Amino acid sequence: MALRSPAARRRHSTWTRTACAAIAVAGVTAFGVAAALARTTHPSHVKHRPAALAAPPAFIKAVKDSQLDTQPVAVAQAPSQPSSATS
Amino acid sequence: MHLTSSPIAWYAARGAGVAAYLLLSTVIVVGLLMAGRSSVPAQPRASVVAVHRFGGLAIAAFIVLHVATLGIDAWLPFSLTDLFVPFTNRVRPIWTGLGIVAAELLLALGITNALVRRRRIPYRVWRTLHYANWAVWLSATAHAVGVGTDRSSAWLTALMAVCVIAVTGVAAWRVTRRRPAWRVVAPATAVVAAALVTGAALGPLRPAQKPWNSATFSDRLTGNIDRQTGASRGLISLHGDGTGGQRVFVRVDLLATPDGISNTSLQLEYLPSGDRCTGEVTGISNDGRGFTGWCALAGATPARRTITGHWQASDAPGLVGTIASAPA
Repeated sequence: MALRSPAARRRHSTWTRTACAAIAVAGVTAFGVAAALARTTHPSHVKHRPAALAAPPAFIKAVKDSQLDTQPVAVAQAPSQPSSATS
Repeated sequence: MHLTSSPIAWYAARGAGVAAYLLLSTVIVVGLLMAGRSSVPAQPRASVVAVHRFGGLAIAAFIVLHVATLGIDAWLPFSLTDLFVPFTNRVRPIWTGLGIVAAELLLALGITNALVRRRRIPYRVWRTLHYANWAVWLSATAHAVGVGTDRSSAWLTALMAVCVIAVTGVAAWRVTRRRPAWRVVAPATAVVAAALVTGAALGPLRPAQKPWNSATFSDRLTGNIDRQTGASRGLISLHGDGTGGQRVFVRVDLLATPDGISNTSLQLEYLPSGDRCTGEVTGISNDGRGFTGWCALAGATPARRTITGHWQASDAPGLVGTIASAPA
């Protein structure tokens, strides 16, 4: 089809740009949707950073409190007398 | 080259592969319609050619994203050779190699497109070479069906079936359009091709899925037992790994008093999900080398699991035994 008039040329140019934009939008949408579906259907990776398993805090506190019970409180000692060097 | 272990790169690689395949199928259908003189009504051929060409560039962009994200991701550690030299990969080399062949052939065809526009090669030669797009599409389809991580998921199987129906149907129509008696060939070809691809994806090429927070497993247990003691409380802790069908980290804590065990805790961390199952120990074996307990995993079905562990007496440091799980 020959483009006889500037108006027809503009119309076809608009159509071309719209079609290209539609392809770009379709591609980006397909990418986003596929990535989201990939995450839900087959996660593969760890979803969050794994942390070492630890004893419950209440257990640790109970044992620490109990350990403190076994340790006698140190008797405060007076600081040593300052002494000057003798020559 | 492996810059990240973030799952984002891995999901992006898979998403980009799907987007590239969808666009490739669309652009091939447009190309077949153009060559079959069934172009878009009321649009000049030059406009449709421009759209076809833009589609090719969009495919190239998503292929670059697919390869780049695979390159930086540590989940499947691809070397540069693995990424660019076909059939050298350790992971399903044939199917992965077909994807590399498709990408490199597409690049070569892109170069011929540029050459024919500059009149460096005759149109007849370009047209003959352009038939290699069939090899690109067939290789890409085989790559998706043979090694695509999501190839057996319903959404990707359906998407591939639609693409195969569209491309083979239009191709068969183009070949048979001047023979009215062969009118049934195009839909029949499309249906048979889609059935073949779907059957392969769901049948012999179906990937073996790794267990995900499995409620039933029996693993080899390795670990250690630690003791912390105070005046009236003591903590006995088992921490170790379960390796086998469902990999787990295990931790069992017993809070002991002079009167016996006052409180217990049992924790499992499932890999690769990182999800945690927490509960209590309900019994300890008479010889002290085993336990029974339960844990509950939020959001899982079944949520509550019965966990048993036992190990042998050994002079070596650490313990070796078995940990098993069953639905409670």
